[in-house]
Amino acid sequence: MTTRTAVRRSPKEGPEKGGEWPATSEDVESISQRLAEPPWLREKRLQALSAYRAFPMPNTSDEAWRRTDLRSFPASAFRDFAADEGDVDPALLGTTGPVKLGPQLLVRPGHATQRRGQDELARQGVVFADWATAVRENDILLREYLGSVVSPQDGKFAALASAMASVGVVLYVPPGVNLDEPLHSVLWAPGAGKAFFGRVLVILDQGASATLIHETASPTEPEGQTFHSGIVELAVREGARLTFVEVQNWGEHVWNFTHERAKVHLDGHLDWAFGAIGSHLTKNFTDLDLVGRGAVGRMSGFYIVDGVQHLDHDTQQNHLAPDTTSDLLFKGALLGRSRSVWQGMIYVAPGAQKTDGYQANRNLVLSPQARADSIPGLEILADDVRCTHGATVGRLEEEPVYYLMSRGLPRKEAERLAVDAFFAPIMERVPSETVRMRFQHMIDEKLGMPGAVHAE
Amino acid sequence: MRKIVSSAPQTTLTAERPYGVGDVVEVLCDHTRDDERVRDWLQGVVVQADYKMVAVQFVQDVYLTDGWMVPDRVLWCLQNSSHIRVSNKRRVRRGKAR
Repeated sequence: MTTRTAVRRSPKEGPEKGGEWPATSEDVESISQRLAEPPWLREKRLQALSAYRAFPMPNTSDEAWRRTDLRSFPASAFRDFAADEGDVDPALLGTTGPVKLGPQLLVRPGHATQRRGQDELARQGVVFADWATAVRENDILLREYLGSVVSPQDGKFAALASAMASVGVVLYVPPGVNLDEPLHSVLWAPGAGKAFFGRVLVILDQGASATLIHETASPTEPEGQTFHSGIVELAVREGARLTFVEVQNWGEHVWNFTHERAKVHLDGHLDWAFGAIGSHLTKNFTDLDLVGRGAVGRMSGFYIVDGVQHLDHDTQQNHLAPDTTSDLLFKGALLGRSRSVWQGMIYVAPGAQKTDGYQANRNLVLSPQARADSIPGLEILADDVRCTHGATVGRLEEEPVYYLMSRGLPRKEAERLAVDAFFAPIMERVPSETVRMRFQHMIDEKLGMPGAVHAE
Repeated sequence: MRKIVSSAPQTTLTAERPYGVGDVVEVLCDHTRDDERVRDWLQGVVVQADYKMVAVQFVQDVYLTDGWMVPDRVLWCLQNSSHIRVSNKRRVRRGKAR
């Protein structure tokens, strides 16, 4: 006779997975108090917290989240709001290499902000400040614009960032002021087991023009994970021209969620460029709202992922007024067992005649285990429009590689150059030489080209 | 024909100084020396360059690693390739035609 042995398994140790991040009203009150925020702002945070709690945790039965699974999100593992100490990567500050950047803000959660070259901006009436300074000195501005572009109702993570954001960058350019030199802001947030919440608010008043390069970055930690949730709000007023460049270079231990939207008014012009190479998982919602006649928005993005990285970009081009133009081109390369998702939609509202909309996503799959999903979409409710879209997923072409090898290049170098050529159309759309070179350097780094060379 | 293979390549340029047109350089490549096919450093002149690539013209016949001769004797390198370095030797000139 055999005896049965009952084995009881105790639950595995470690953080609970798949749940929502446990935000509390005490956390919100504490942040608001520390920043000495006015009552209206604290109230706004608490409303956002209520919205966060009301939203269910996204899951793969939601259309927007169908290809991004959060079941392994270790929600309870992130409790510390301050970034680790440590030197900032000098490349981020533009202090090395041939390219020097203009006025700069270096923002680090839990640490003092570093500023550079802001005297001239102040003389022109430009506000280029970190969150704490903006709260202290620009109450009217925040009251008018904060949450006017991205609302806590936009999604669970938008609500969370609205409630919890303690670091950020605010840029306001007064009417008619043209800034020739690009502004540069960096959110540098090293550490594991952290929860970072940030926001960016950019307002270009009538007829103003500016370029802002915003980078989010951290080194990859050998152990542990970190959580970042952020909001980007861009308001381009009548006749203004904004070039906004985002560089996402989080360490590969970071779960990154962002809600971003631009509102472009009458005859406004927005050039929006994205470069993403970092994070463990990113879910990014990017909306372009063309709300005034003659508004133009161009979105150019590239991403390179490897290992088990997962990048999910959800873009929306909303033509809400007549004679508006949007143009989106996203290109990505995938290595290892990485995965990318791009879902794009062009929406043309009733009455938005003479709309010209374009969207394309091209993917280069460089490993048999990598996977790219590309889902373009159109929703057109006007009858005099031109809208086109396209999406491709393919492997590296052998022919250009062959021709490069016929000039003595080893196969590996030839393949790297062919990848560079794939990204060239994106680089051509990046309006600043400074940014183009930074992007090129990021691509070279990701493709394993140590000591990548910059142009002088 | 015996093939001689040179020692490991070495990089001598820093990232801040890419090669430019007119620079005298050496490239690690297959070429002919004294009727022998060798893989070694060979002097040449940069005839085209951008931030990423360099084209180098040689006086001698050069070959791809799979044996094909390059008819115009121009090889390409990446700016940061370990197969190209600054030449410290005197420039080799062709003898004058008579």
